[in-house]
Amino acid sequence: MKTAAVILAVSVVAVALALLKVIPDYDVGLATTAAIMALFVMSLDLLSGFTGLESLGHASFFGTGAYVAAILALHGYDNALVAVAAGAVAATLLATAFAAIALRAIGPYFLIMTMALGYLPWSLAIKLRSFTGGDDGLSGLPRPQLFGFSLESGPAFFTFTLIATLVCGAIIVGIGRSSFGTTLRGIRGNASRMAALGYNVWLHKYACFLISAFFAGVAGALFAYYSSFVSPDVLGVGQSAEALVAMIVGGAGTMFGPALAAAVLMLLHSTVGSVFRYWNLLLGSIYIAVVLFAPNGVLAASRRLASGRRRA
Amino acid sequence: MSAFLPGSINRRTCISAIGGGLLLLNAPGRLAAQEQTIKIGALYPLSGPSAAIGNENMRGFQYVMDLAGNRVAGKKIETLFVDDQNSPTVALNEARRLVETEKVVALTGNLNSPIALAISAYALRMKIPYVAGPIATDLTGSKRNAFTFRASNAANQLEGPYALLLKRRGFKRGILMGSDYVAGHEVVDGIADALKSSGGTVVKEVFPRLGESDYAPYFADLASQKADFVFGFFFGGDTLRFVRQYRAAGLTFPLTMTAAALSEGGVAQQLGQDVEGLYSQETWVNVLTDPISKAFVDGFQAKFHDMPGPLAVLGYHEATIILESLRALKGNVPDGVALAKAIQNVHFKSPGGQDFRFEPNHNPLFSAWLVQWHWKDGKATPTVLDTIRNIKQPDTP
Amino acid sequence: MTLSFWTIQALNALSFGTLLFLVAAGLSLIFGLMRIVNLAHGSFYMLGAYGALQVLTIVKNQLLATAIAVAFTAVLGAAIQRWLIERVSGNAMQQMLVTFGCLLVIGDLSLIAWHGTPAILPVPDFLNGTAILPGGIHFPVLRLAIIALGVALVIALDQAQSRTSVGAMVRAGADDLEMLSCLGVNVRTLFVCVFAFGAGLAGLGGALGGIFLGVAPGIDLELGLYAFIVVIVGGLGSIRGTFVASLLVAFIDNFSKALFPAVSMFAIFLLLVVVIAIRPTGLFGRRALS
Repeated sequence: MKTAAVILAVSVVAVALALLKVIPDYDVGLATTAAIMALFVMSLDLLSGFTGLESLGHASFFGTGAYVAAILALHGYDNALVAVAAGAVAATLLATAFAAIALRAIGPYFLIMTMALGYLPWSLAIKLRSFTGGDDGLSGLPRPQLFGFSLESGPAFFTFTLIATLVCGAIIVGIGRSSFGTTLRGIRGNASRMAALGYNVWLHKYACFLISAFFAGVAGALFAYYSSFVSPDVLGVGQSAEALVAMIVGGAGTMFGPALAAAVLMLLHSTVGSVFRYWNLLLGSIYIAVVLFAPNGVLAASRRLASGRRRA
Repeated sequence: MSAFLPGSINRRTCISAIGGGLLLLNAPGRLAAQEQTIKIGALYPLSGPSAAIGNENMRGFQYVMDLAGNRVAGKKIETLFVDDQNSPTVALNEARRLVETEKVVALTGNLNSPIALAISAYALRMKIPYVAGPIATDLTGSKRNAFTFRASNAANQLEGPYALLLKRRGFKRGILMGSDYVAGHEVVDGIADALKSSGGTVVKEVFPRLGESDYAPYFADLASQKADFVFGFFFGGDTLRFVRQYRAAGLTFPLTMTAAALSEGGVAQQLGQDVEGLYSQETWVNVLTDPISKAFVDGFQAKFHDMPGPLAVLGYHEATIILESLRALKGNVPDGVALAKAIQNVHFKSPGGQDFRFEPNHNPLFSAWLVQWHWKDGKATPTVLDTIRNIKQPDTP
Repeated sequence: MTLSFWTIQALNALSFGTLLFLVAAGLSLIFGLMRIVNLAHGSFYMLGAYGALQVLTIVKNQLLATAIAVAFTAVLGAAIQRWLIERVSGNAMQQMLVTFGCLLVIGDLSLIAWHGTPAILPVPDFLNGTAILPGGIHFPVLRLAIIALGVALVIALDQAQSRTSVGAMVRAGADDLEMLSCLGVNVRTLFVCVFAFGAGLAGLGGALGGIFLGVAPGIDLELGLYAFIVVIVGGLGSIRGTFVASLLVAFIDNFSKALFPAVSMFAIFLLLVVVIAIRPTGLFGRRALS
């Protein structure tokens, strides 16, 4: 519980500083995005890291959540909880079909299949212009309100996002520690053995898919409101790939690692990326470096370093 | 279990790293407050598929600013050039950083419709003027606002002059093709309307997907059609493929392309022999003989060792708009509202001789040149056939 | 629709299909033997195209330029396999990460080197022009040449796989790697050679495809995606499967554009979904995957 206490303490401090306007709005915005991305990658980690179903199509759920929230916002539905829930539910509905098809593929085919499937929602978003704004996207989205409080201001929205992220994150971690989670880990280890033991492997994978899609949808809806804007990019392979690599860099299956990695990579992108023109070069080099020097993720490597120092 | 609970040392290290990062971000903002510099934020796609045109756009801007010594009315101007990586998320983030941390007084740039729309909405919220490029017709149409301006033609300003070309060449029956995205449809629809109102017919409309690799399947059907010409509206690399494959397919209809397709990014030169006989409509050509164009071409070549194209002229416009408006305010920008008003009243002569001024919807009048391309001695050479001036954006109030 | 319309479309599809085969064959081989999903495969295509373009500024002979570009991609492929991928053999996620890293790095280095300007390779003189086929059909010579090359390559590769000792090694390795190394085959060298070969094939695809498809930033992802779809549909590791799938993908892509342009974007994905639903390991894939 020490970890939970630390996270809670830091969050309370962050929120207080934001609300008291000690931290400038821009930085609050960055923190908001960091939280959203952390949630998104955590949801992916449940599916890909924890259960071993590496997916390059997770942005489909993120983007669906985003678009649904966006369309609701444009039509005047401004209840924050309803909109976010709607986005999450829509993402889950998409997952019912997506997972059914993707799970037909096995091994490495699964990864490529999810990548290919991910192109469908993206293509649809571009095609259905009257509905989704096509490749122009939907801009000028108003922020929602929660129990009468407007979430228009940066700090207010940050507070809402942080609470949502913490709650969802806690649920995801909880799922990981439950017996359902143990079964998932078993499936990642050796699916045929689990089947021999009598577990319905397909059903567990399917359920995991839906759950992780739900939380990706939450993150997506939050993202739409934060940016006041959605475009087909949020559904794209690039978004999926960024999330998957953040997960691997952070340490697949550890949940906290990917969440932190997502946040740090995003912050890195905002700071370094705006100064250094060739961001992809830097990012790619980081990935290669991680593989060469920290194959189990950055967190594990730092732990090794730390324990190495202590021994020495 | 231990997999979920990283050692406390690492948790603290990571969090403090993030916290430190956040603090570091604040630094440039604090620095800026100490100097008396006017800052401008310019967002261009400097990487990815639009890198070539983004860079050219930026250079045009740089050229004008450097020529003015990066000073106006006795004050220093600093332009922060930022790569939007063609991603609305990145662009919006950068816009936020520029406005909230760097405290720029105006935003400019951009060659991507969703990005421009997102920035325009943000700029309106923050009451900062935004000078955009020739994208997202709505910026000066249904989504126009007091702070957004356009430094170049809107996509739907192209059809009027084009209709004139068609009429004069006697082209009556057209096959219209455009990439399947918002701008592609807007332009093709506009050309279709213009064609019909001048008494012509649209034989067929085809929309290959944006970034299509193989256009050949679309051509097989065309040979048997009864048409006078084929019109194509494509972007960057798609243009190269389209023309190359069109020629390879042996189609004999005169091929016509529209603005910024051929004179951009050395596209015409790349096509080699295939460029012979192609018609295009350009917003500026580097063979124009008016004094401003000549000075611009010479100066640009001396500085960058490269020939400028219409997008460099766009950058020229953007920078000139900023400079002129700041000059009018004598370097004192009380707030975005005042700057926006000053921008509204800007008036100068553009390369090519067009009088640049804003209409009430913040869109400028522009000129178009009708050009035919020839391949002479290993160079793609444009010949100007016709000029049209003072074109307005249709549906302006 | 006349007979000439169908013939032209069929020939188009065939030419695009053989190009896809060039790119996908390498990917399929690499996976079949080494179980590596090379996310950077499209990058080799792009480097083949840009490489040929660059060499052409020095050397005037396009055949020579192509050969040099192909050699370059092959060597680069060998290097990536030997010094990067080999370190994480067996770990799929790490392989994915490292090849993805290569994709990004190569992409940005290409941007630095060639400035992102869309470019197109010139048509070599002996491949220029339009051929007139029986029935008065006009078809570009270049595309006919690509068809011929592709077919020749398929036959050569198929024969090589079934008749040569290297081919036997590759087939054996795909079945049982441990046994192969027990039999004295230097597996590491074999891997490097096969990866280099696959990369070189993709590079060749780039040098040829660049003539009518051009090259610009983003083409690594575009052709990469096509290649991935082809290998799933065909089944990883099978040359015949890759060829059949390349043609299938090209035909569906081509004819959907010609007949139903509005939905052509989805036609390929529909194919993918249908194939996976019926045969999860692809049309010619092996039924069990370790």
